[in-house]
Amino acid sequence: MAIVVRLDVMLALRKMKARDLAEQIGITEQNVSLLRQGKVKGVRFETLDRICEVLECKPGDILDREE
Amino acid sequence: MLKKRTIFLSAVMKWVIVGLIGSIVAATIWVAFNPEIVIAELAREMASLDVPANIGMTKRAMIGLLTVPAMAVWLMILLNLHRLFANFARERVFHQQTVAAVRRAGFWLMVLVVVQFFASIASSLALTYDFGPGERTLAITFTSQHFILLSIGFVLLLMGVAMDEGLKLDDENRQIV
Repeated sequence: MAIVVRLDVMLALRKMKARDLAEQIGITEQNVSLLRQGKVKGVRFETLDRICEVLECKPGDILDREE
Repeated sequence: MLKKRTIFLSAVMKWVIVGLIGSIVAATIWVAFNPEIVIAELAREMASLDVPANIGMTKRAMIGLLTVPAMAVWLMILLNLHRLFANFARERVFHQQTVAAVRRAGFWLMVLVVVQFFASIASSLALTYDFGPGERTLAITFTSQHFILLSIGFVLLLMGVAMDEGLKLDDENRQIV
């Protein structure tokens, strides 16, 4: 079981760069990069909410679960 | 960010400890060959026992060598304090190495008390084992100085463990975006 981050897919669909997303949600580009690679232990609801707001999507579009 | 004064003071302390390490090594070598000071201290501990003026070479060597373990433990304490101040000088306060140095300094301080306790017993035995009946003495000493050292060591050890837990929490928080 693993939580998979699909931020890459959403960024590609919205044709947005990671740098622009980082700027708009107010976290560092390095943290966005770590999030994209799934190398983080957790995401704050606050961050998730801001990502969803900028990318106009739902949390389920960014996070998925694989067996 | 640490203040420049703190960084400077830490760098100075680092070199002061290097000096202390040098003195400990020199003192160990000197005491190992000239244990009179240890013998005088032992005589005082054993209710001012009359110690003969001419003590054999074997006894002197044994008493001299018994000071080495405590000095070695002092060396370990100082090396850890050196590491601690070196990290402070590099502005690494909440760092794995700094925390480990605090914890180890505390641990070795507690070890020092145990080593001193047994060294004192062994030294009194070495000094008086061939004395006449009724004059053989076994010195068992646990003074307020030992208690203070033990307490400081315990507090340092606890501080190190608490800082270690804090460091782990901080590391975990960093991994949450």
